[in-house]
Amino acid sequence: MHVTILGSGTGIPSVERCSAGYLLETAKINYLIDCGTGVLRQLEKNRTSFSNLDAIFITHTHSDHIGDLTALVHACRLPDLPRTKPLHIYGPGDFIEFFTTIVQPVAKPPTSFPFFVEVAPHEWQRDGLKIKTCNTVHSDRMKSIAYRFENNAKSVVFSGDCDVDDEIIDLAVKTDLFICDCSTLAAGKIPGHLSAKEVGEIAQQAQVKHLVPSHFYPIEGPDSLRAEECAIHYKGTITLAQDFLKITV
Amino acid sequence: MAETTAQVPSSTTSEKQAISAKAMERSKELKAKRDEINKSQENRGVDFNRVVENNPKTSDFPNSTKVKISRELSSLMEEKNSPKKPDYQVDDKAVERNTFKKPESVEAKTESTSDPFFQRLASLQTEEKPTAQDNLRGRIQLTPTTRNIDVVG
Repeated sequence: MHVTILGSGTGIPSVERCSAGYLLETAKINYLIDCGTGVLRQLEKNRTSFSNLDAIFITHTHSDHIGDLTALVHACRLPDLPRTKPLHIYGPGDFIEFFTTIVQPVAKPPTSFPFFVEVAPHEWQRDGLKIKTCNTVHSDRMKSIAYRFENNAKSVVFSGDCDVDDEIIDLAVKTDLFICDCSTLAAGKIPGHLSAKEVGEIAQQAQVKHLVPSHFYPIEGPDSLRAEECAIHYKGTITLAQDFLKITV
Repeated sequence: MAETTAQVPSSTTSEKQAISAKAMERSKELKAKRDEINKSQENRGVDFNRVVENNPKTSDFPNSTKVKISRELSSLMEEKNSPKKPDYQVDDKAVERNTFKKPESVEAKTESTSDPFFQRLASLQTEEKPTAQDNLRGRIQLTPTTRNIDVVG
């Protein structure tokens, strides 16, 4: 599996970091995990057309994770779009309501190819991959989930936005690649998000093989401080996220 | 000054009835046409709410939903997707550069207070809570009046 970080940033506009978005590729599939503001253009820059996506996995419906979803659905109605394969969009438990009330009035779902909007199950299989989800602690006003993808004995976990919780540790157990919310340092902890210290502790408890802290809110000082803080608690490999960083597992 | 207001003759009862009947007929025609359009759209479109509940297979979709590929657009997309060359400069060293190099014997130095690395970490632990200025830099601080507000992103 190949992971391309399309957006390692947050809802705060940044030249260096786009809002949340990750591309997961195998020889057979193109999956997009989260579709924050700017991700659609990042996909184009990566030469992975939106028209080639097989499925989109939304962790929650904050704008830095869904900001470009409406634009993507709108683009899918492009006349004569060369696409016949289905497009599935998965999301947390309240995703259908969100899609109906927020996305659909602005961008009608495409009718020229099969289009599905679904609540992500706890566990299912598609395209030869095993996919698991767990609830995360993030917001009182909306549901949020994390995703684990397994293929050929390798796994990748995307935490979405989350706070410390046993479920995310269980989902990330012994994963090959853990792309994790690392919003701040411990000193600037934001409720509903993980600090670098907590990311290190979770990764160590889950015995993660390769940790990629992402979703960076601005901090005082260089981002390398996040890695240093993680490394106090986590003994494995740490690679800080960067837009267009590519990692193969 | 000349009279500019025209006198409009009032309609007779039979004329009024004729106009009303014609309007009703026209209304029925329009409704039938609208129903027809709606029905054809239902057949052509995909009701995602229904899809979510029923989760049909791809084969359930009628052939009429298959898209006609425009030659121009198709060739454009092909050119775009092959060769798959990104529009940004590929940074082969990004992973290596972003991978954290641990200082030697981190555990041994944990107790040390003279190392600037750990002094900085210690200062992070004792740092005062974020100020309003920090909020401007992206830190979200929940105040008593906004504690029920949602966390951002």
